[in-house]
Amino acid sequence: MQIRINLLPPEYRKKEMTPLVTLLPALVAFTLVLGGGAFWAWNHFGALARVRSENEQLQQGWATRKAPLEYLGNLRSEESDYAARSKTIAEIATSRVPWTLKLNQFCDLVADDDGGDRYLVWLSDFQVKKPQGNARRTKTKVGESIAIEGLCFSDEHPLNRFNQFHEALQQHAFFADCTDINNPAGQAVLMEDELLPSRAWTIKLDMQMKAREPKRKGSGLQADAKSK
Amino acid sequence: MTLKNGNTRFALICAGTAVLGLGGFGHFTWTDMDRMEDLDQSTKMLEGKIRTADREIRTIPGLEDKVLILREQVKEYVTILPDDAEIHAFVNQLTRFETESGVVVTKLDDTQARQRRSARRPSSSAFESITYKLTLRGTTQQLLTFMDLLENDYDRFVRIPTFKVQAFDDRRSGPQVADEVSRQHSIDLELETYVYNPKKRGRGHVTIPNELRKLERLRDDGKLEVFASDVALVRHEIEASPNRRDPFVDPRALTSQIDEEERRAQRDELDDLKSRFQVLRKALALEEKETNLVKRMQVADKNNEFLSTLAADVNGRVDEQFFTVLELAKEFETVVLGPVGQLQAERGGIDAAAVLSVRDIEQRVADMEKAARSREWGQVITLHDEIKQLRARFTAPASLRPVSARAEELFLLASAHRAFDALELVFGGSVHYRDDPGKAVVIISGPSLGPNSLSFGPGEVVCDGLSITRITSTEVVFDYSGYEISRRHGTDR
Repeated sequence: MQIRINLLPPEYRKKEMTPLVTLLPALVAFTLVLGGGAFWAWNHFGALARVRSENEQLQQGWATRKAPLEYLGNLRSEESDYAARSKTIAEIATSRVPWTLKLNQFCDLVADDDGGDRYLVWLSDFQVKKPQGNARRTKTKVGESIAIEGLCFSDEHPLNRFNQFHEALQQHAFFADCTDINNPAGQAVLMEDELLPSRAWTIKLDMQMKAREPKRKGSGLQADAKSK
Repeated sequence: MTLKNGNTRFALICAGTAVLGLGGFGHFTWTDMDRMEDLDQSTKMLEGKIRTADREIRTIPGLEDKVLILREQVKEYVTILPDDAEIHAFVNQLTRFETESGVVVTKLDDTQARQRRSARRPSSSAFESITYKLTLRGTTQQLLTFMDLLENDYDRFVRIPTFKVQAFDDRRSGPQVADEVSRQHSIDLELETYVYNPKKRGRGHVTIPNELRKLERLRDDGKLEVFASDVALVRHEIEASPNRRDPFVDPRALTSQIDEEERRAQRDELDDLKSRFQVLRKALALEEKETNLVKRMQVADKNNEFLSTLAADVNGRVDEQFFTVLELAKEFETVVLGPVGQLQAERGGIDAAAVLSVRDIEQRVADMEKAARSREWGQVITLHDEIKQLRARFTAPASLRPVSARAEELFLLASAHRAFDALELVFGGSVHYRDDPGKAVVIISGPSLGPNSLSFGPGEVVCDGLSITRITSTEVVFDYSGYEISRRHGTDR
């Protein structure tokens, strides 16, 4: 076996290459690190920046829409407010009972007595009261109530005359706006004066008027819309 | 050996650096990816919000229109409600109604109205209810008149939520009260109205850009037509029934006070009024049949005078409440008062001369139609002048407008024909092609066309305002200032 001895001083010897076993992994590691760095750089300065910029643009876009949305909200609020006012005015306008007409009708009814042959009525009291009861809890709304007191004269059949008056009242135009009336009741009385007829039947009638329906549903005065 | 060691160290350094480097970049990359994911989510959310916002913002113009329409609507609707000044003056109105109706207001409670006036802070609601409480004295008829003035005469919204009538008590006053007029009942009633506060506390109108222009556009599109009947106050005209008995007065007291002699006197009076009315009716029937214009006017004047006298007597009986017997009062209302009132209304609007002139005008327009059909244009113009003279005598009622319009049309047609005739056009000859009427030609001469005859075809202008519409084998149809005039040319083909 030959033994080779290099007698050249080291500075004259041929340089030895780094062994591949060392070099290759180093190169691979270097490449990987560079690659990782490049990917990171691309990701950070490319994709992330793009996404960030898109997001910022959208944020700006959103910011510009805030004012119109607030304006829209105010418009909606005013719309519902005015719609409620419009409904309220309609309710107010239809809430009125034409008492001139109703009282006139009632006077016609009382006066239309065939000269006393049908009935002869003298009223002492006529009272109209506001609708009673808690209309919000009950489904059925009620109208005004009317209470009438008086006397129905007849020497022979005062109850019969009163009954005729009661019937005539229910058939009259005056009663068209009423829902119910109490049944004929009362008592016979003898008048203490010298006028004729001297006998009479007491009149005490209670009637309920129909509630006036506004054009749209609602309860009470809802003039102000509740904020959403 | 050295090399190996060096290489080992080198390898270790490389490996360590690689691990550190890769680890660092990996971490940063992972952080960035995480951040990107968050940003992506945020972006998606923002995109969704922006899409929704854009959709809603697109509804703004429509909503602006709606709000403007609602504002105008409410503004129109609230005219039925009194404003602040009217509320303050409402008590003056009540005083006027009191005087006109004859009731006597013994108490007026306007506390709520005064409180509202002195309140410093504006109300938080758009509508404020204000109530007045009144105590009155009056007969039933006076009460009805008072209510009628409130509900039908006063043009603002007022309602009566409650009222009470307590009949006059004869027993308290005794027999001294002789007549129904003095029997005044005691009446309590409430009057309620509303005041509108357009600007509530803390809320004002939204400022809409270019509001005036948008309102103008809505108005032009007809979207601001408010149907006021939606909230029009329902009013009822009641007929006065002065002779109807008061239901709050003892009916026995009325009938028992009337003796036989008085009853007879009322019967006689009623018969007299009825017979006078019958005479008037007959006279009116004769007036209709009178053909002579002058005589008809004289008879009409006489009848009107008779009617006035009769009406004055009838109204006098009403004012005096002459007919106290019920059946006679009813008969008086049905047979005399109502018909006389109606007749007065019919004849009272225009005087006799005007009634007669209307008939003459209508007759003349009929004559104009006849003359136009016979092409007597001179007669049409003469009749038109007569109509003008008749119309100068009185203000024309609305019913005469269609007739007058027709008279004008006929007059203009006749004038056109007369003007055409004045051109004195003469036809020299014509050529007509059966298959192609558009190529027809007619030769016309006349003072307005110069010394020579000229040929014209359909559609050509002959002179100012005159053109040829078509040429047939027998006639030429012209258009003269919008009127179609045809003339036979009497020439051979």
